[in-house]
Amino acid sequence: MSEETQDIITPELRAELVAYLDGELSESETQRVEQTMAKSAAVRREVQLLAGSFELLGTLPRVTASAEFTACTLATVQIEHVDDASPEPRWRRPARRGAAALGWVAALGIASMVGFYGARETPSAASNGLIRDLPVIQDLDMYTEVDSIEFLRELQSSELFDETP
Amino acid sequence: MLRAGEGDEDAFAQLVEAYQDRLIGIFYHMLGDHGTAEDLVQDVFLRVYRARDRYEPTAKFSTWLYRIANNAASNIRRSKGRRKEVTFHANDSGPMESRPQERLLAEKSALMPTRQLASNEVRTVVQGALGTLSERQRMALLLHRFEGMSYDDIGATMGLSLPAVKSLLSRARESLRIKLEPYVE
Repeated sequence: MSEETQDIITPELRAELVAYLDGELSESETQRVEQTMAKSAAVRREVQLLAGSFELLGTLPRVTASAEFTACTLATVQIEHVDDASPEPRWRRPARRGAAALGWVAALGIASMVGFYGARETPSAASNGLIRDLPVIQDLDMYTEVDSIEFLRELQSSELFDETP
Repeated sequence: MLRAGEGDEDAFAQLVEAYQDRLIGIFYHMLGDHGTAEDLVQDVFLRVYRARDRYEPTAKFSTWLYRIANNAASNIRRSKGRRKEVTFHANDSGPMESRPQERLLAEKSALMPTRQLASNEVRTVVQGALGTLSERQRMALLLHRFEGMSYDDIGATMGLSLPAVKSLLSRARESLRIKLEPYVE
């Protein structure tokens, strides 16, 4: 193999170099990689850069749990434990929830129907009064000119509006 | 964990205290937000609690625990759907205001010694480089770097074959190498 070929870092070679750095190669594989490194400055440089960049991960901040995390987690788990310890059989919980949901749907449906038919069939008291007084309302302007019923009777009995020839 | 499976609440509390910081650290670097990381870790412990009586000591507890954690992280990935992933880039705040990390750098630069400023800058760049990895690459890398997991353990945790883990880590390390080369001494 020529020096020029050895300087090409193929994906397969890089995977071997990474596994070598991670201590994941067998004895024979380790020797092969070390021989390759010995023959190529480019490979040695690649190993140095791979190792160095990996070490820089050590600069990442160390993160710890907040002060209340443990207590909060154990409390959450405890709620789960209490729920699990309930005497109610497990199958009843979803059945109970389903029945409650059906009850809500039925109640809403009945209320909607009552409201719809009730509004349609039952006129209001105010509407009743207006319907009864409609003949008067239609001629209200004229009736406001008349002082009283007696006056109308006097007019009727008088001969002022007699049209008989 | 076996004692927790038998109903020993104190044993479960000890597990929480032993692993909470490690899990929160992993998820913080996965998600970029401390509050979200804590919510997810709490969900993980709840799942562990629910499964406590089904735990079989056929593998390391940590592998089992991180498998649950990886599944929880996968659920978040799926719930994101086709929305673009939010990744944090140290030097790209776009049209928005500069990111808190960049503002911090600007405000503190006049006060800090050069060495400390360089350290903060490197940390920001490393966080940004990590944020450009896919979530699977990031998870594999964090499990390897901070949990010291072998390729086999990573494969068991993430449901991947050994060659798949090797390829995943190789691509992740190559991406890091490209972005962090200027900072490698």
